Amino acid sequence: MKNWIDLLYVIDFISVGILLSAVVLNTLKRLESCIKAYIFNSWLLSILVFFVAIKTGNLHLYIAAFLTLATKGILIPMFLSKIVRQMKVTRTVEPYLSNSLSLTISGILVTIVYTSLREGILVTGFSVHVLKISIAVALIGLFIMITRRKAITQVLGLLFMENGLFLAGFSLTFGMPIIIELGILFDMLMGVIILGVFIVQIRRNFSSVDLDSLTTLKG
Amino acid sequence: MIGILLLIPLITAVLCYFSNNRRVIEYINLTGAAIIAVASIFPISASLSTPIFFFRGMFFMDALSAYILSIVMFVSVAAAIYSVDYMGSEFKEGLIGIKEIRYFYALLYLFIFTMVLAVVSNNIAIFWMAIESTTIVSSLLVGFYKDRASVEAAWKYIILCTVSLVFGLLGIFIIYYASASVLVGEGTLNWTELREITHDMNPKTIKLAFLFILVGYGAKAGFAPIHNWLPDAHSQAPTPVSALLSGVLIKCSFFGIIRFVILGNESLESSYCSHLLLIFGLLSMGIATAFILLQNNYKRLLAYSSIEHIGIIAIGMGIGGFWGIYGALLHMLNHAIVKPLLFFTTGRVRLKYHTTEIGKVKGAITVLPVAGTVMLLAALAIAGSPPFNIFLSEYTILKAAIDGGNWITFALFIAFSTIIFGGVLRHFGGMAFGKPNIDHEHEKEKNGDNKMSLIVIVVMVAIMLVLGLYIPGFLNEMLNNSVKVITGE
Repeated sequence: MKNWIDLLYVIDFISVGILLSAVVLNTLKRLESCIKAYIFNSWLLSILVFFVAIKTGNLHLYIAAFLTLATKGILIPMFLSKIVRQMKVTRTVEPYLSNSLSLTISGILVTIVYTSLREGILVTGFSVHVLKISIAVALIGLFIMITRRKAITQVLGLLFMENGLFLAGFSLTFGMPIIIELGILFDMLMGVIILGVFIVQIRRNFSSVDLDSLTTLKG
Repeated sequence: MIGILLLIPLITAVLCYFSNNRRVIEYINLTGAAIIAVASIFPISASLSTPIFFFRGMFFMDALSAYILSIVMFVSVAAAIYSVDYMGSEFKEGLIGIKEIRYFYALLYLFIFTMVLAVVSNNIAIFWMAIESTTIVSSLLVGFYKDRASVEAAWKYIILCTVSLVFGLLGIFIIYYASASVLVGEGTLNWTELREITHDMNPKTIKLAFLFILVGYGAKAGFAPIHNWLPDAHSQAPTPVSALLSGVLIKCSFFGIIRFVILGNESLESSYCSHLLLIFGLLSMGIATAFILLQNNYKRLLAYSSIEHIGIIAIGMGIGGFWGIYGALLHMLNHAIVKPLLFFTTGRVRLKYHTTEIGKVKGAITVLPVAGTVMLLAALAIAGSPPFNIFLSEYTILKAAIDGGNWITFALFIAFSTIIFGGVLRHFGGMAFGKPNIDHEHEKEKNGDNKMSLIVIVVMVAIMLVLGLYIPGFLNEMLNNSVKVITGE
């Protein structure tokens, strides 16, 4: 009865969507659109968990899907957009690299992941593609963290990384026990809130949110 | 017992947050510290021979966690008592207000709570959460003064540690996956259960998981080359927090690595984990050596010295064998005594001289007779000169290196520690001796204010001197039992 999920490759389609929403982050100029990309990414992630829940009929996956949606899909983006509005600064991203170069590098990252994970113990789980895609998303998140100037894009990169690794863990283990899942999400949420507090303080102290100005401490 | 131990710091934190009077907060702080110290004795002594469990096996304590917990407790209580004077004098100088005092003590006890949670957790995912919470809570303490430097330090700290901990989480997922494939169906995250099934797991999977875990917790433990957050965070935090960060937090994180080394040794050939630890340990020592020589800020110098000592601990674990592990564990305790002592005494120097530059401090012994002398003694100890405790544990590790025939490790260890010896003593000698460059005569009558911190300092010096000469029977038994947990005999 639930064969349609397999037949239509629903899970593969969604995970490709997750990868694309990470890749598109390379080209976005405005902070608001970056946050929208994150929302898109998180919603796809929770929809993917939801479909796997239908496929396996596992109750705790339904809860996990709902929790992912509530925290990553709604709470964290709302908080981030509030901070962006509060900043009232130039809302452009100002990357160190040009769009085309960073797109190329993202493409290379995806290729590296696909060639290096072609075989071996890690090709398991419900789909052969999900694990590769999740690692690629995590690497793109890390790449975004390194090459962007604004504090908030670092947070976004971190969140993309976390989404990618969450997906990796999910594809390996079909989710952790629910209490653990809850704890990790809570920790992540607290972390983002504290980072938000520090963004506000950086803005106050350095009168910009450029991380280039954080050069007081050396040696 | 474990539940009570977790509850006390939480209650103290809440009480501190909702009090409005500095005196009241300080009394709550001291009572809380005393109660924690007493309450921790029971689980520690109970768990020395047989492990104790709590809450469906999610928390547990064996001899190893009892040993780490006693280190955590010792430094936490010392830092809590020291805070009274340190924050009190900042309050009197008008640097902070009552709101910040409330905030500081509440965060301090939350920080202690998260560290205790990490040490007593059996579930490796709860351990991860606890370590991530220590990052979140202590980054607020690092950014406590809200000025440029401390906000920058806190930002670097939370970003770097969270990124690497996310990788650590992937390692935990992989372990869970491996356990699910062994147990067929529902996997397990409890360390005690994992230990029984690790030898059935695929060694390649364990290798991969261990790498992720090592990077994840290694950044938090201060391994070079992922140590960049450490000097910033340790130098910008308020002094009692620096003592906690450097005295116990990095060891809590290393404790997580030890747990996975134990798992790794069950299924892999033992050289895999130990080679990785040796590489990270020697690299940390080497990088710390360079930065210690060139340093001009004494709080940063102490931070780099922490990197060196976490390197030494990793080397001890990496050499392995009874004496290597014994030396590493003993070194954890010794470093947890001497480094907070140095932070406490230099904290008093900072309150007096209002600078953290090495060149601007002269004649600390004349200005602060007790703290200055103790600072010099502790600097001698941290540099590794006999007859202090650090020398004893470094000697034990070196002996293990010779016994195991690790001549490269031995040679590099000796070379680095000799250079560091010179560097540390040159800097601290310059600070302690010479003609005082501040006017100190009219400030002498105020010294009566700082009785509490002096008591803490004197007690810690006494322990440092005793441990340099001999190891008491109960400590020896604790160490022996902990080594047995690690080697699995």
